[in-house]
Amino acid sequence: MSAHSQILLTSSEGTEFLIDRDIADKSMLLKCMLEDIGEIGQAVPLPNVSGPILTKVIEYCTHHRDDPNFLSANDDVTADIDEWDLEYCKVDQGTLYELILAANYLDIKPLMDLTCKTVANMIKAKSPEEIRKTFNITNDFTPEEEDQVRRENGKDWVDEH
Amino acid sequence: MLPQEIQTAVAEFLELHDLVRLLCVNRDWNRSCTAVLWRTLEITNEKRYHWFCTVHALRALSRQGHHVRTLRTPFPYILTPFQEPNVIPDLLLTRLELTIPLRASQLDDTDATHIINLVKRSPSLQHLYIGTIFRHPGQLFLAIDKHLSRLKSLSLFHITHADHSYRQDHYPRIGFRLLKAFMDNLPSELEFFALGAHAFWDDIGQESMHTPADIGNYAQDEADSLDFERHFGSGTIKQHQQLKVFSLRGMGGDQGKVLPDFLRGCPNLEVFDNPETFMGKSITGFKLVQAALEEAVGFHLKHLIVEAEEETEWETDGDIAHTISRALSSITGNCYKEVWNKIIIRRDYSSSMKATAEAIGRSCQKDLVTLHIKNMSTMESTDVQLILSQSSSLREFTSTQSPKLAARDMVAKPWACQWLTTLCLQIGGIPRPDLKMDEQGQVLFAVDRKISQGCFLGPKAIQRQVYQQLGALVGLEVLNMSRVYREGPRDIFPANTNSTNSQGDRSFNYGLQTDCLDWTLESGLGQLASLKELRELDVRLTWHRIGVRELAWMARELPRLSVLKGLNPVVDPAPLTSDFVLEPGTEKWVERYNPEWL
Repeated sequence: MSAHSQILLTSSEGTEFLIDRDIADKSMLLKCMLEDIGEIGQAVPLPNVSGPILTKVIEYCTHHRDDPNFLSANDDVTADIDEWDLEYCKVDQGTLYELILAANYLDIKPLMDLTCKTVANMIKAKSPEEIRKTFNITNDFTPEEEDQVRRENGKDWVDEH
Repeated sequence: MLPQEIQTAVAEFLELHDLVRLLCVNRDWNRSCTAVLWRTLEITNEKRYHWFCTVHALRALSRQGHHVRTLRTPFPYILTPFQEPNVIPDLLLTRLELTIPLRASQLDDTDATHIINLVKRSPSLQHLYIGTIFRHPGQLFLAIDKHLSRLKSLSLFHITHADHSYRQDHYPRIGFRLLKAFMDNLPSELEFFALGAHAFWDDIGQESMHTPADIGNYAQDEADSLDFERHFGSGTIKQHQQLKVFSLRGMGGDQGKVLPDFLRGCPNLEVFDNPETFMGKSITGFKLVQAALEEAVGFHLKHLIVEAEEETEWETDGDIAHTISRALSSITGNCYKEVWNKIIIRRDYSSSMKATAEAIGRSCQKDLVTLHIKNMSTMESTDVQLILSQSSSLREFTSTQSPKLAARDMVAKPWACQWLTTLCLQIGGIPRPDLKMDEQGQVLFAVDRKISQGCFLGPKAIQRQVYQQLGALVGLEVLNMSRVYREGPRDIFPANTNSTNSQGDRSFNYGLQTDCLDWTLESGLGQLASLKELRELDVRLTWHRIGVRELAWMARELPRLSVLKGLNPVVDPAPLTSDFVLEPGTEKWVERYNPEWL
């Protein structure tokens, strides 16, 4: 298996992407698939990922191409996100959600962690009402339910900072 | 809307107080967050304790208790609802930690029963830590051996000097037959086992030191050991192939009656942390224990840990030296080769360590890789040099209070430890012609502070030799040359160049060491350019010797340097007077270049 071999991917709308094998290997899904069935010379269809999102995913994998700590990059829950990654995640919410779904589907753990961390950062230090506004969520609790949820889940025992 | 599994992944990145707000947002997020919130339950403070004693908590637990995987608490009483199948029918704990080392008299019998019940209904437990001491541990032992077949780590009553509640007589007294039955039948997947126990022997009742209560406890333990026999059959010994670490405290006495069978079943043991085996503390079974170890693991243990606190008859400098020599000599002339990769001495020495240092220098020339002594500050300079010039395999030389090495001792003989990666050392004793001192070594005045500009002809020759010796350590990753305590003569600097006191003298600040290395290129700093692996440099209380040129040099020549400790008094508060300043220009340079490695 040549180190310089390339892989053809097809996004949901049928656009083809030719990428280097080592970039494809960042995705555990593709890596396992390529190891199992070998390179068949045909395009790998990715019906769950749109072209623009796939472009974005490839951009991430290319940037972290030679990163020796790729798999453990975002393990530290409290660590700050590095500058390039921060800039990379400055996208609208829809794109961010799609990125998470793509990272999850393609099984790229560091990208999954990065994007989830970005969403988590949008939630931090916000009241429930602010969170609803940020993510355009409607409150579907009845007042009694909401009261019970608050009572049972830590309002009284989680220490406020 | 994000799928539930992804919402859960997001929730993983949030702390509790954010989680409790997020789960009030809507039903969807509520479902995703609840599992994360409850998975690790720490009832560690009074506020939580009181809430978990309420009826709301009981209702919440019955609904959410099945999410709990880790339960950590110092309060045994809080386990009451957890051990009750009617409250949480589908409990699935994997980790249980009862953190406070309570004395046996402080543990209520009902609470003890609850702990045992909880163990019995948690066969999924992988980690069990119980600091609370049981008066009759027999039924707890039996429950562990019978029910916890998936257990990987177990710590019982294992209190060490690191715990503030430690007392030497703290360990529970347990009949040796019960202890042996318990250990021989421990779950076979166990990887880590730590136990604090003081064994009762057959001579119970013959010695006046045993109280009627002791005798009663011993009888109970004997009865409990019969339960083991009833359940496991007599004389069964399990294999513990996975066991890597075994730490035993407080047992004393005839360990030969308890340990050998167990040790023979542990062929993969890497750490046997049992100071008493090595200390000559009237352990009659020492040879049996040693023979079992040799049989099981060929005595290729990797670590020796000596932990001692107060100076007692068997914990003096001489005794530790004896331990080190004896553990080595006891197997000489035998086919087994001693491999000591690590010596840790957690003893806080206030007296001489001469014998210990000599024993290490003499016995550990080949195999010692890590040496950590809690407080090495009392070690003589010549003894420090002895170790460094003898132990050729040494990679890590660390201490919470680094030893002092005089430059003249250091350069007298090259170091054997050329592959050091971590070095904590105070190099001192460098004469300072720029300072005038009185007979007591107190600084009278400084001739000039232009040290970093290289304006004075100083003891450069010896410093160049020191730097040359350090520069030979090409694998060095961490170099800690900081001073924790200010001792001896200190540099003085004008507090404020414009201020004079009433006598018309300039006022001075006293702060930093005088007899340390200059971090200047003139003194040979450039010879450290070979340390391409250096990641961390600690210069606390010597940083006043570093100027702009040196910082620029470090940034250029030491590519992996990412931490420079002690230069920034805000980040690394050194005990300085507040108006102390860096070398002229340094601060501005740091601001301007904002080097990443600071």
